[in-house]
Amino acid sequence: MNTVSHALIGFAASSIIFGPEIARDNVMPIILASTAMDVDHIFYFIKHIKPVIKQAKTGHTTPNLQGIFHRVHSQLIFMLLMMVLSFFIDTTLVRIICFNVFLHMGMDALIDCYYHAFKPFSPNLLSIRIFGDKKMRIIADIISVPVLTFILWVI
Amino acid sequence: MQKSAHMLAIAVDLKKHKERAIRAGAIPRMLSAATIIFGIIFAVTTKSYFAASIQALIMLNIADFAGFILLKNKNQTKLYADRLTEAIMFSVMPFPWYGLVAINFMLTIMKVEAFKKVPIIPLKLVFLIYIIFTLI
Repeated sequence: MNTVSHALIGFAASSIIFGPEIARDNVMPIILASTAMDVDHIFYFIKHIKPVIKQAKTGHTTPNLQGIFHRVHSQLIFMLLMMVLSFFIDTTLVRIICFNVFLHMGMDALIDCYYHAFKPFSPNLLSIRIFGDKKMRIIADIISVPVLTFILWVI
Repeated sequence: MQKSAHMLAIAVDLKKHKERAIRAGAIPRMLSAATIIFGIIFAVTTKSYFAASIQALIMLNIADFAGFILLKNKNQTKLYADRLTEAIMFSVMPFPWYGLVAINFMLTIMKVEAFKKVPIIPLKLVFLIYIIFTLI
């Protein structure tokens, strides 16, 4: 799923859970938490620019696209970090960050073709592919941005 | 000419194999998708629509039970979906649940890595029991 959609879904879900005022006050943490996990794609994009352009046209993604932040051990470290942080900073902020990060992971797991979630421990490819492999995935990716923007505008 | 025909045959065979692999994993995929979707519904409704969140929690436990019977807790996609769901559900809850989710992440890594018989805490069931006792 594209990064803009992640940010919009994160903001919409946070407004429902924590209330629109808290979501509006914490808009930067929400956007950062729901998009920062995609930083690990950049390394792959830099190394493999030609296959990336081809994949964008066909809709296929490679499991190597998802880097270290999309793996179980990073999520474990993040959860422990959030647990420690909850003693020192505002718990609402911790909840907002934690929820948006894991919502990002959940959406990626639902939609992306294949991923190596357990990679250093197991080479198995995991896949749910709720929208299938190619066309529906691209359509959902393109439609999601205007639809989510409209929903947020209505809210 | 012969070489290209041979390459085409390999490509067609690979495509068939891939389709077969996709069909074979339909049940774990459906259960994993249901788990994540109900987890998101639970997290979104837990503060404003308590009844809906309880229903989502019950559905999650049913999906878990179905996974236990059909997959015997061996499917890695379902394992990962379960951990993500717990993280989404309990990220809006207070402190002790964070720790339990982290412990479950560790147990899952151990289960996948080496020790196949490592038990994983059924956090969703524990939470359902906790909710029932709180309501009583």
